Amino acid sequence: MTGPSTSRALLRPRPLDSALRWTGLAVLVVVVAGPVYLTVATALLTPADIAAGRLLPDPRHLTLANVREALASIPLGRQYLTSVAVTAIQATCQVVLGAMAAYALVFPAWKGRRLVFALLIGTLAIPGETTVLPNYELVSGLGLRDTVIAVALPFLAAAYPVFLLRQAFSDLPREVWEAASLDGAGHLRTLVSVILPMARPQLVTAALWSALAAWNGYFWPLLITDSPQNRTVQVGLAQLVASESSTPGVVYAGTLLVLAPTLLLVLLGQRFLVNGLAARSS
Amino acid sequence: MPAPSRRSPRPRRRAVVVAIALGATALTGACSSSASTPGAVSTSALASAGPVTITLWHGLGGAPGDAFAKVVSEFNATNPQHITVDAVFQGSYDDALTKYTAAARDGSTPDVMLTNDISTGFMHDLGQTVPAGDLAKANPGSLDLEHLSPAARNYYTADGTLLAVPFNTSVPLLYVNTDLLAKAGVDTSTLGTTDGLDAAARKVAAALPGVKGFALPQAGGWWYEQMTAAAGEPYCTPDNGRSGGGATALSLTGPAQQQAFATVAGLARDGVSLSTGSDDNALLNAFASGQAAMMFNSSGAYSGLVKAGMKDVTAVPLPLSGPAASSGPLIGGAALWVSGQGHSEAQQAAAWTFISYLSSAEVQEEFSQASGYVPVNTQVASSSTEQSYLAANPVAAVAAKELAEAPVVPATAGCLTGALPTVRKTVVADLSQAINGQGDLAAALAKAEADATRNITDYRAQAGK
Repeated sequence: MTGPSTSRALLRPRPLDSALRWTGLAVLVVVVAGPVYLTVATALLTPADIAAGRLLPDPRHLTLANVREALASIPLGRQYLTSVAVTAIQATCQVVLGAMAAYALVFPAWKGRRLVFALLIGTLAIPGETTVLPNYELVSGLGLRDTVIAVALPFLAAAYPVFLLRQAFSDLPREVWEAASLDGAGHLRTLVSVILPMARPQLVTAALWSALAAWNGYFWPLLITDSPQNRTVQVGLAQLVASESSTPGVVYAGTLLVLAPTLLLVLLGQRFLVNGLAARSS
Repeated sequence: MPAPSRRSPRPRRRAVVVAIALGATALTGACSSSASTPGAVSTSALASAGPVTITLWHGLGGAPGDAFAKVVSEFNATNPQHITVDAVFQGSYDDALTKYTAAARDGSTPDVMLTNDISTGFMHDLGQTVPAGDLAKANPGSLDLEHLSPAARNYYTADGTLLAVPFNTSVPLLYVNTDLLAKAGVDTSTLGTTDGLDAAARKVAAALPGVKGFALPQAGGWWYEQMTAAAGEPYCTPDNGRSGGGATALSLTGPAQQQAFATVAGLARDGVSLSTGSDDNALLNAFASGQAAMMFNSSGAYSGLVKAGMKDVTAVPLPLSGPAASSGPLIGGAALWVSGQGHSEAQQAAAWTFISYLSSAEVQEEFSQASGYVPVNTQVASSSTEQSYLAANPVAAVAAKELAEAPVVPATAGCLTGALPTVRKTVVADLSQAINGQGDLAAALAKAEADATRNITDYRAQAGK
């Protein structure tokens, strides 16, 4: 039997544990924040400082010249709008369809739903490369090449958000769903008013995942569009990189401009995530 | 040579997609590749046509991309024969080629494709294009192929026919830090041969503590091709893939070729050279900041060194290890291909008219000075503005001279196979340790030769050859 004094001793942080924990955290911070720091620093340094490897920026040398050059080289403003549109369409559809699919897989009882789920999960194992050409031919066949819709079209549904939300819904007490049904709520009403509010953290996670995947898409948007104004920022960014000579500062400045919304999204989303997790645990 | 200073973001993915697309196009493409030129169109086709808009895809970014956009808009402003050119950036050369391959399947290829040196074999096998040699023959008054650099033509020629018109062209150089070489007492006139380079690098490392003698880019693996040509040997057999059925095997074990590789590996083993791994930007930075006294790189790398604030820099031609008459540098860069299948006579004629414009001495002079590439039209050399430009830019002068003097022999044509992009990856993977002085070089070369030969065999099977 453990006395109260012992458990208190266990709870009290010991210096060694504490040191290990802080070291671990420090390593993690360097791993996560290092590349972001390098991007920001390189974007704001002069080429001479970059070549010399002076990555602790000297405030007197900081410059926005790289950012200006990046902005002058590609129609970033217009491509930002395209990226935002693609991200909004793609993430919204993935989350809406994902939530509906997950609901159908968890709550109503129907024959074969396990098999359908297994098939859905199976699509995660198909390499994206193998679907590129069929998608290209289909979208071209529909006459949609070089449109914003075409960029999002093949990705309106994805298996991962379905999986994430199915797991979240499975953890919810089934009685809640039964009660809603007894009260006469239809499927859609139950999903929107009862189930989704209870699975908010996973919903935010799914939305973040979908939005990041849409924002970071490169190869498909490049393949299916031709006009600079119908292209996403990731494709525009690639144009800053020359084949046989490159200016790292300008490439990093472009990277910073493209990275900024992602960072914001994660920082904002994180607040929801933490709140959501805290709400669940109480 | 694409991307000595940068790697494609997802080279593996590109390779997979190209392989899939090639497999799917093999049936339609392979049978038409040799028979696609019943008669190249004449630019007289433009006379009866109204205004024509043609599309061009390219992979030029950064300063060369801006310079290219400028010459295109100048062409459109004069609008000769009512031709308008819509030039579209399509990602890196790898990305653009993948897109071209996908487009070939549903007949939506651009009228003109600018694609890099190592995709020559693949474009040839794809069979979507009309050889430049045939277009030039059908249009006597347009571009005179004799005005194009013989070394560049040699690279883009198969079975005696010019396939594509070289546009942005680079040559390999040995960059030297003049300050460090002077301090170590090395005379740059000794750097014409690999042995001279070896001695000079060792002298620098011995004389200057903390400074390495030499460094080379290792990301793309194009230096294996350059060192082979500089040894006067073929990189693939038979005949560097230039005639008949094309290349069937890679060759890495020729005596002079092996000796050249051994020299570089020896410098690494003895701690004389600097390895920056697969990051070619790190190589540029290391050289610019004086960590290494000499560096192999493309002529295109010079502007990056200048931007990095480097002053004590010049360049000499690629050191040779073979006889001067039968060995030399390989050209790099990209060439313009005219799509035939699915394109009207007026479009093909407009494409050829535009290519003739891009290859003219005036445009080549303007583009090369703005982009850092070497002019590919030999007439540029006699322009007085070019002469004063070269007098003020000694590195550009060395590159132009190197291109002009490169011997036109089978070794300097380079290896023509559609498998070359894959072969490069194999060679880099198999040789990077050995070239950095670790392990048995001869064994690594034999393994790389066998693996890359398998790449070529697989490619031939996929392409139905």
